[in-house]
Amino acid sequence: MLAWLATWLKQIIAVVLLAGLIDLLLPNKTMQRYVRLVAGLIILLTLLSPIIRLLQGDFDTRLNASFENWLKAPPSKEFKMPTLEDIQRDADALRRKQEAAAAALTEKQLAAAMSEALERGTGLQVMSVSVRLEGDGKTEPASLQGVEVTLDSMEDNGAEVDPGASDHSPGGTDTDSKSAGTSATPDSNKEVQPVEPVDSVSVFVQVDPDDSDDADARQTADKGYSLVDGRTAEVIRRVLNEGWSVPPDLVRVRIATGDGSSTGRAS
Amino acid sequence: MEIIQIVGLGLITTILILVVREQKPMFAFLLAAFTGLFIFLYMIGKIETVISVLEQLADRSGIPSIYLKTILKIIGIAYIAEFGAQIVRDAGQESVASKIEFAGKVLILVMAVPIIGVIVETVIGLLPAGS
Repeated sequence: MLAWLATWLKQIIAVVLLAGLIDLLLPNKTMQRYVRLVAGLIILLTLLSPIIRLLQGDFDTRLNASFENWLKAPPSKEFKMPTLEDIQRDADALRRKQEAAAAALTEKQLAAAMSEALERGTGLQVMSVSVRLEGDGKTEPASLQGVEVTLDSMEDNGAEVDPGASDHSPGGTDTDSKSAGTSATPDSNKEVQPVEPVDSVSVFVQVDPDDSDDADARQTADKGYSLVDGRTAEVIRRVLNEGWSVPPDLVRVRIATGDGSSTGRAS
Repeated sequence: MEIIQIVGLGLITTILILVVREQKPMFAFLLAAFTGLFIFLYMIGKIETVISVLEQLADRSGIPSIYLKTILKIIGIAYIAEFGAQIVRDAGQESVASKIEFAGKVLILVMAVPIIGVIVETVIGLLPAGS
């Protein structure tokens, strides 16, 4: 008992001495209040240590653990100053992302404008227009790499416009009544007549071997779509060429077939 | 007698700064900063003896070494923050110096967090036993 009391008193004396020493060692007065607070807390802990030990058993290990936690925590969440390479890499990534976003926006708006112009200019039901741009946009302006026009399977038998279209009717299109795009009737009224929806359209197309040279390359259309050549595609290409000076060979016209079973090309 | 060397160094530096300041205030500031750094590093070696005495004291009285570690860290933080703040203050940036001192105060207070935690737990554990 006496020995325990002796060690306790020795601890208190040592801690108080320590606190006095650090008070002396402190450089200036502004830090003094804070250091005194911490020193006072340590003295308090030393004074209370018998009570704490009585109540909670071993508190030294807990204190040690929390201190270790605290001492170890700063390196783990240490703020790492990014190096120049990191910053440049981030900048590159951000720029690429921004360019991609700008290109995507350009493609979208171009596609929307083309779609609107096609619907207004040809009267066709354009389902979607997808534009592919390439180029980094920094050294040279992005160049058009391809335009894909997807026509709706519901064909309108509305006005086939574009009066300057050469009026050769494409050979070998055996289509049923309202499929395969623009029937070549050059009716001159330009108002679009209402379209009655068609459930499924089957397109029967005979392949004209004449223009199958590049069409074979395009034969690899997606399932459910069939490529459109000939009159409709010509009109579309002309509209795109006049509006955006798209080279005609970059335009790919396809039509969504209703059930995805019939594939064929109107030639 | 190192104090004579230190004081002599300080006096020479002061005279040099007074001479130089008219022409090049920048060099005057650099001179002051360098002298401060030199004295600081020179004296750190002396502080080491004090610290070793403190460690012996702690060892013999059997207080947990974690206390001593905390106290030494506090002293170090106080010294470094004070030193940096004074250099910055010499350059005329009072606001930056006060920010450095603020950071030092915060770090010292953070040191107290584990101790406060233990004390608060003890008090909370005390309360139901008393009622």
